[in-house]
Amino acid sequence: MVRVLRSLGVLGFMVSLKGWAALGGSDQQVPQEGFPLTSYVPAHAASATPPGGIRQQTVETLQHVVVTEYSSHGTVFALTWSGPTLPDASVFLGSYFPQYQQSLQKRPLRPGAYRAPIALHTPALVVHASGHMGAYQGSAYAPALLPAGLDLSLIGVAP
Amino acid sequence: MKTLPLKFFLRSLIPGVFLALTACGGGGGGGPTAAPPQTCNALTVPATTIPTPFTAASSSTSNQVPVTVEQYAAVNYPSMNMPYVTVQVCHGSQCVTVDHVIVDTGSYGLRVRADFPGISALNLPAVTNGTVPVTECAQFLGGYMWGGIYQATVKVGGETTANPIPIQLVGGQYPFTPPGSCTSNAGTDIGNLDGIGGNGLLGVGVFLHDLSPYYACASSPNTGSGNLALTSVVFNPVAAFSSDNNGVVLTLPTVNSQGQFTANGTLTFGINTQTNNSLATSYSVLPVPASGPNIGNFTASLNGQTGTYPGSFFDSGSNLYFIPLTGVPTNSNGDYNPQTLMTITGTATSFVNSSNTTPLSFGLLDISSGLSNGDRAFNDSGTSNGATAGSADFGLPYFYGHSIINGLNGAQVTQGSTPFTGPFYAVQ
Repeated sequence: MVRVLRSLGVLGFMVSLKGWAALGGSDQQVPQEGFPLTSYVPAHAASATPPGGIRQQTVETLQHVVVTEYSSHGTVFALTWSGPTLPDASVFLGSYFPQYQQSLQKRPLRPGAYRAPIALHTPALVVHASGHMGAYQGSAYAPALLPAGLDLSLIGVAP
Repeated sequence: MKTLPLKFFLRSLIPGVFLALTACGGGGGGGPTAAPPQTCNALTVPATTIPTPFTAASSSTSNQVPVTVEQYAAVNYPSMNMPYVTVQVCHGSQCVTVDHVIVDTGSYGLRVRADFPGISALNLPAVTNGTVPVTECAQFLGGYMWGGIYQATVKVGGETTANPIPIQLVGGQYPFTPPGSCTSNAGTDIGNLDGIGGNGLLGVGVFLHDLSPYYACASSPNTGSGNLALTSVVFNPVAAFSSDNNGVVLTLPTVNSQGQFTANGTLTFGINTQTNNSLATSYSVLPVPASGPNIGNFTASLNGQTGTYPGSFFDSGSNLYFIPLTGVPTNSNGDYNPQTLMTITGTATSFVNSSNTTPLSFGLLDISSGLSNGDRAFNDSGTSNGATAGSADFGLPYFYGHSIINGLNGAQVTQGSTPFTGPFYAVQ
């Protein structure tokens, strides 16, 4: 019974939050991927932090996509992900998602290149996605939110 | 810590009760009867699968099928570098022949347009979760393919699956619309003629299962949920063939650097099962990880380029080289367009065993005039558009002038006296 209550307690903790962490959002919120999460390492429990006081939190979605969010002064400025499929961009890109969709529609493609990697560079948002079925990976960041002097390669984010 | 759970439990209960009351109030209004709501519940599949190692018996089955790169008239754009084969989709003794199916070593399982003539009349049995039919959102980087999973016997050349296997029928008049978690990534529905670039996609890569997101979609009440059995996910037909079921060899001829109208090659099933598919010493074998961060990939280093490309792979379903390069001119779209042929060389190295390497060499050239002249087979077409640092997608252009083997996950073969276990690539 104690075990049941404890697991319900974890669920309650996640449900009771008022929003979900996303690019540009607060790192005090739990990312929610459109699917239930199978694991969650909150920012304050991260075992290793990248340089400059940056915090990270990692979730694994039901679809086994591992998403790591990087935050500075409480705001998520970048994220990386990898897994057998793609994460739900509408959740993880947060308020940047409409811009992501618009940029995707505008990108020029060689004929037939629909199964092709994605690299979007806009002044407010940079997104990369590469790989193939079963082995996808990607990253996103908001240039305006980057901590000064941060080398993106140190946290595995494509420039 | 011991006092926290009850507090959190109560916090979680309160919004739940509130939501339940709201729903009751909303339902009592007595308005016009609406169609029952349709919902799609996400189903769970594992991240990777570990097959039992297996060997394929020798065979005398007709194990080759022609591959053609050409303009497919039904596609509304230049169908460049798309390797087409013909497959048969069968229900019992009744079969439909589907032409212009793209050979894709970057995916797993067969996808066919649901509205291809004759497919719906086959009445393929739906794969279900409980009583709810299973729907898949096959995710590709440029879009998604949405549609139901069905049991079908698949025939390619002389090879036939020993039993019906789960395939996906994409697009058409599917009764359920995809949820946002399916459509949000690339936003484009590519489960159609132009999105595919043909009538289907034959995924014959190194893995056995397509572990994309699956859903149980139904009108209310929707009872589908939980785990989806591995026997219900889309399955690589090669692994299900009665013979020659441990991998494929995709062989394309050399083409001239200015491009060619068409190219004719061969897809051969099996490795070391017949005289036409032996893993000769002329092949460089590159075992790739079956799980972990480098799953399905090798690492590449390219001369003249700084850094390495740990996310590298061969993919016949990518119709260009998608490789970030410095020092190669591009047009305004980011496509590489040197006016004289530039050759890039380097080395591919296995993550599994760093002594397994293969030399890499490929050309880049402005193909715009060839493309406008109607050429569709190019061995030197590449782009920086979409290319990501650290990832080299050696698409179909690399297959011209090569034979590239995809050894299935768990397949045990020998090269001379050296044993290899899939997943692996082998290149000659």
